[in-house]
Amino acid sequence: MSITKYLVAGKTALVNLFSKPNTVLFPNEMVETSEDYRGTPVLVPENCTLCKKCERICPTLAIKIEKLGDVEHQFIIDLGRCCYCGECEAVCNFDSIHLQNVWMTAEMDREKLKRISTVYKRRKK
Amino acid sequence: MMILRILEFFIFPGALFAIVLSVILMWLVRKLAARMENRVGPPFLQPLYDFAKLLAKERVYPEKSMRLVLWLIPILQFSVALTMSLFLPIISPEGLISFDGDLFFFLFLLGIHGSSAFFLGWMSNNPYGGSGSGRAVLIELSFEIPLSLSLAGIANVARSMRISEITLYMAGVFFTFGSFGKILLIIPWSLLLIISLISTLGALEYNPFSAGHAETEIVAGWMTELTGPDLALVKMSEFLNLTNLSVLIAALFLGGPPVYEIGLYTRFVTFLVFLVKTLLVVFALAFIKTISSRLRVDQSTEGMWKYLLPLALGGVILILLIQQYGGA
Amino acid sequence: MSTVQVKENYNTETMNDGTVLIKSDEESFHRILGNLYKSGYTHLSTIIGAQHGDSLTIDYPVSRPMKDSGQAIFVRLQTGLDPKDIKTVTDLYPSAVVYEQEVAEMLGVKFDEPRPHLLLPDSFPKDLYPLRKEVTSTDIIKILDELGVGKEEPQTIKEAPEDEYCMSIGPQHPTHKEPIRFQFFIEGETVKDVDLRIGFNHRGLEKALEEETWVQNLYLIERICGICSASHQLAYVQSAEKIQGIVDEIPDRASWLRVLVSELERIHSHVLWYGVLAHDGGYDFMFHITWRDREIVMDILEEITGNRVNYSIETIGGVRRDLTPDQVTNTIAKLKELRGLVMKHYDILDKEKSFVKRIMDIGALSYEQSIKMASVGPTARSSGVNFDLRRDVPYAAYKEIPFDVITRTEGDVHASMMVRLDETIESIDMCIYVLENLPGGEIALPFKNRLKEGAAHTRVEAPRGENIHYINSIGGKSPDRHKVRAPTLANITSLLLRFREAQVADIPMIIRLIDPCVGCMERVTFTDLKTEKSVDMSGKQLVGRINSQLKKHLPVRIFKV
Repeated sequence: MSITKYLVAGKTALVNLFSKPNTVLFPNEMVETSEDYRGTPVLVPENCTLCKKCERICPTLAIKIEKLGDVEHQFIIDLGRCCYCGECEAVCNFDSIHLQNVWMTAEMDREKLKRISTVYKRRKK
Repeated sequence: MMILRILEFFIFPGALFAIVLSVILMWLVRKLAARMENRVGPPFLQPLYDFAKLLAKERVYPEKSMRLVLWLIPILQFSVALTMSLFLPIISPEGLISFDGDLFFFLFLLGIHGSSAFFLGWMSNNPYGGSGSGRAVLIELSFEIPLSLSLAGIANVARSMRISEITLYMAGVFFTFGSFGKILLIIPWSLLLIISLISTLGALEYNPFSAGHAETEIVAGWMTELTGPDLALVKMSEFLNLTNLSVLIAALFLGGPPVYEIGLYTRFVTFLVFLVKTLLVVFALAFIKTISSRLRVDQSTEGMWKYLLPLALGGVILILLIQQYGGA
Repeated sequence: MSTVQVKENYNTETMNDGTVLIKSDEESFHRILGNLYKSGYTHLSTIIGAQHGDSLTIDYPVSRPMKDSGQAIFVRLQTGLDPKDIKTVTDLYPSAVVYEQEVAEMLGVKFDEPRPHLLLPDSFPKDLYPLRKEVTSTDIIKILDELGVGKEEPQTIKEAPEDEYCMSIGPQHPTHKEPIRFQFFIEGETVKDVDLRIGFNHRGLEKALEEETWVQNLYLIERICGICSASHQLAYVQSAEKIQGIVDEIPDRASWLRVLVSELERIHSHVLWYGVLAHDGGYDFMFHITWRDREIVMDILEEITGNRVNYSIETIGGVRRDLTPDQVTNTIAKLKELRGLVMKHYDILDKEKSFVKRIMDIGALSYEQSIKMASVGPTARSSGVNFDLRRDVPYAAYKEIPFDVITRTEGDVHASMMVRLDETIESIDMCIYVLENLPGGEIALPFKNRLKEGAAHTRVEAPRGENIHYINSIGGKSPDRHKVRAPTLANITSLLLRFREAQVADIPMIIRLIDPCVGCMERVTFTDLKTEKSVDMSGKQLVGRINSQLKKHLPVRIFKV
């Protein structure tokens, strides 16, 4: 009988007992994500030229650009459909859409997931 | 006087205190396990929250099950576990109930508790429950004999079958290393302590003997079909049993609450010493539980019968021999 | 028989990726497959059915699971739209049951052995075949709505014979979080018989792929599976590149980065696997420790690809993200730390007696059985099959990276654990090698959203085994046919053999042995992205009874011992 082969993890357990826990109590504390994390896409309305490239490339049709008036447009990013692939960020020539490292997007209502911003069409110079 | 006695039974050190202590010890076991696994672990009151939440849930019974049994056995288990807690020496070597042979009665109650699990699983008309109750009763059968034997060995050292007398003797024995024989007794004492700790793990269905409710195989074993208050009572009796067994081992092997005459604070100091000893036992249980893997039911029964039982018998015989020839 | 001999003997054609394709008809295909089987082509990867106008093609990609000769040969059977009495190949390849059934239900190919529905609802119209071109996903959704899928009575437990009782594991069970159903007939604690049902998670993905564009498919493909998303994406982009003819032009840096991500994925999958194995054995301590240490590799993936699960790193023509020198040094340091930790896991898992006792000699499969049942990946390697697609059919940059293929011969859970532990360490070493020798240059070629006409397939060594993607393009914005076969479907048939004389307590460990991923296996909720409507198929309809079929063609009778 080889009793030494039982409880081999004892040392690891004791070391762990006196070291800082590796987890956090979630809603109170959060773990940091890396800078390059592909999280929520956010629009910078000032840079947008309404070229609609992102609307065309979006694989899940999460981006919608609607015309409200002559110059006023509604830019809707539906986080409920977004797959966080980053194609829109890659295709944009004007640095107007960014995927930030924000990942807490849960809402009680589906409509609240739609991030709506207003973009004004710039005059051609 | 009568009111005081009733208060003792129901509040301190009786039923209510036993429940509070169990909840705290259960939290401690969970917290220790979590920290050894490098997790944060549950907040202090988590076992109580769990218990309260379960109490508020509705009862659901499966088809073709014996509802009466499913309803009655949790109550039986809870009351048995609570009765067992009244035997425990907490603030004095003497428990609230104490008579000659109460150790024997304690083990009998433990047997009732273990075997009732079998009926619970069997009557729930569920294959997981059936399988789990079979395993639970197998493990219970195998752990009880080594546990009883190791306790019998200690009873032999103190030459008594009364918990309070054994506790008193064991509390005193550390200060009276009278003869060579008494020092020799350390060998069977430590052997029996280890055996009783291991069998306690079996009694509580902790790892490595948790085959009775192996989550990944048979969901919750004999507890699968329990819901709401029934489950809450079964869980609470599990908590209580943790207290019962760890306090009993602390009392019989480590001397439990000793009597030091330090005037006003006697009872307080006694209580503190008792707590420290109990926590030591609980830590040992939590440690083994955490770092071991679940054995299969045939492997755990084999281990019990093949190694633990002969060792326990050997320990008892060793004690008898030392007493006979060593002059202890 | 080498490919040259094959070319001499049969009427062959070459696909875009250089694969030999033998043309045959209903009379000759079975004979050809038999001859190939005799000359060592014992591994049938899948059966690919496709509709080309008013004809159907059924492809049988067979290969030799041997060192350095793993190239697949396609045997193509061309028939009309309504083929009847096609000869079954289950006498040669027992694992073909599930593949044949898929073709039969999806494309209406009738085999000479009629079987009950495996993937589609029982009440599904008999003459409607979802993968036919005239059927759209809107039609299918309408039909499923009318049928009221998912509103039926719950499945019943089968009657057990005398002295035995039936224990159902799944579709909902703590052992595996994914829907698959085993019904075990148990006497005491011993398993006497087992019945398997799959199809609870059939999502109609192949149909969806046909209706989306190439870029959309990039992101749909990686959602086949949460663990091996990069391997699916890699197989897809490689097939697309083969059709486009740009495989040799892919920048070196891109292929090396592909290897890096694939290997990181393998590390996290294997570490996850043995953590879950420990959990299945009731060893929660190791479960938490391994998952804690797995966070290191997840953090690396998050840093270099941008996400923890769906990396979205591949694109047709290269990769989408580059590594900075800082990231390279950081990652190497983290990987070296991880290597030390994995060595610790290795020590504990291999030594702890109470755990080793649980997994020793459990669920063993011999080499012959493993070959016969066409098992793949680490599962096959633990039975002694010395075959690894990374070495034998190299893709991406695997040719240039040194590594060992780990094999064991016991075939039990312990052996497969050791194979995976060794592979983890091997993969960490490979990643460090890749990072230290990363070539410079561009990372991607431009892609214009359209592919040439052609067909190609890619087999990729996913963490769980061989993963095959086949694409047929007709030069449009979306594929004409995209077939996916994930490793779990190949292993699921051999899994049943492993339950012989097992104990109830061994069941979770044996199921874990093949690392089942039901999401991968049954790729096929009909979801229409445009109308946002999805129908989850569930319950009674998605029932497969492959057990009786398996009994017929197995060399040994295992289910009733």
